[in-house]
Amino acid sequence: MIDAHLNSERLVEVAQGLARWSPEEAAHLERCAECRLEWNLVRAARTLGHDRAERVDTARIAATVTRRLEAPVTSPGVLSRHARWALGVAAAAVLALAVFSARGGTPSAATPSDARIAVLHELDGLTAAELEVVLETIPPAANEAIHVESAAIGDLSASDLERMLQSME
Amino acid sequence: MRPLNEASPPSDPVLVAAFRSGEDAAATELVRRHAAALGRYLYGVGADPSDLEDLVQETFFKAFRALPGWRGEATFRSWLFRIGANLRKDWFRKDGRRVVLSLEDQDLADSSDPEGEAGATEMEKKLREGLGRLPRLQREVFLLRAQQGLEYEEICAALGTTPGAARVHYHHAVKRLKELMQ
Repeated sequence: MIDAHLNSERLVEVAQGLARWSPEEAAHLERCAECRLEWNLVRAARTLGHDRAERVDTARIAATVTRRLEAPVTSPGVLSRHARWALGVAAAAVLALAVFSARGGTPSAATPSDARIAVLHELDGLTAAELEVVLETIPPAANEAIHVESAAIGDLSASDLERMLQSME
Repeated sequence: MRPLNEASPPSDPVLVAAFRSGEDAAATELVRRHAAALGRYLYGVGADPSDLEDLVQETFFKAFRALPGWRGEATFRSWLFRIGANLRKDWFRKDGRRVVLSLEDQDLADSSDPEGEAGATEMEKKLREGLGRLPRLQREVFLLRAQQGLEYEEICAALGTTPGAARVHYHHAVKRLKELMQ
């Protein structure tokens, strides 16, 4: 007779079909609600999503994936020269906005909103796919920096300030 | 590479090598071999059932594109799971067109597929709800161990942790899930 609870690893092994209960273990499982709960949990995990995954069309996925792999690659590494140039300008403008926001000052040549408009003009010549790549490449921290641009530094909460400082690192 | 229809199927590393040398059939075989398990795992980590096929497809696409970075420390399958879980996380975070719902907040019944959800067992619903309440690493370790049957060495290679830490995550996940399901 087993008094201690069944080993968790043993439950997984049996649920995976790698082992079978001994008569003693089966008897313990019969009378121990705690082990039975864990056993039911592990068995439910084993079959979780089975019916959903059955509906996934692997042939269609394979065909689509191979077709996509054969298509020309659009990633930052193979962007057109125009796109790379626009990406550089966009990144520099975002950085400039973050720096001016941190100083609570205003750019001498352009206000933050002017700079943002300028960034948009640089992106005008890109295709939708290239634009998406550029936008994905700008780190989230830089995007957040834009949101604090209109706040004077003294108005920022401690967490906003912390976030802004992190975005500048 | 041996022809794919031979009695002894080629291993994943052999298929990966074949794909890298230009054999599309190897990619097809890898998809056929792992898509269902990946789909189950993604469903477990909280993917919406209506997104499942797209997520599986995108995971394979990213995995094949990233194959030069796969050095074989983790198995191809556990590497796929890692990419898929990260993708699922980004999928919700980045796509503004999607309604972002965490499992903690949403009614787990899928309104787009009421019949399918009705078929799920009560235990499965409770489990999925419980998984949604776990920290990410606990959820992923639990699924990789209990759902996929991976060994802790594979799990830690997939998740970038240690076998000891993975065991602790599993233990905590089971404890918490038992509490939630009682």
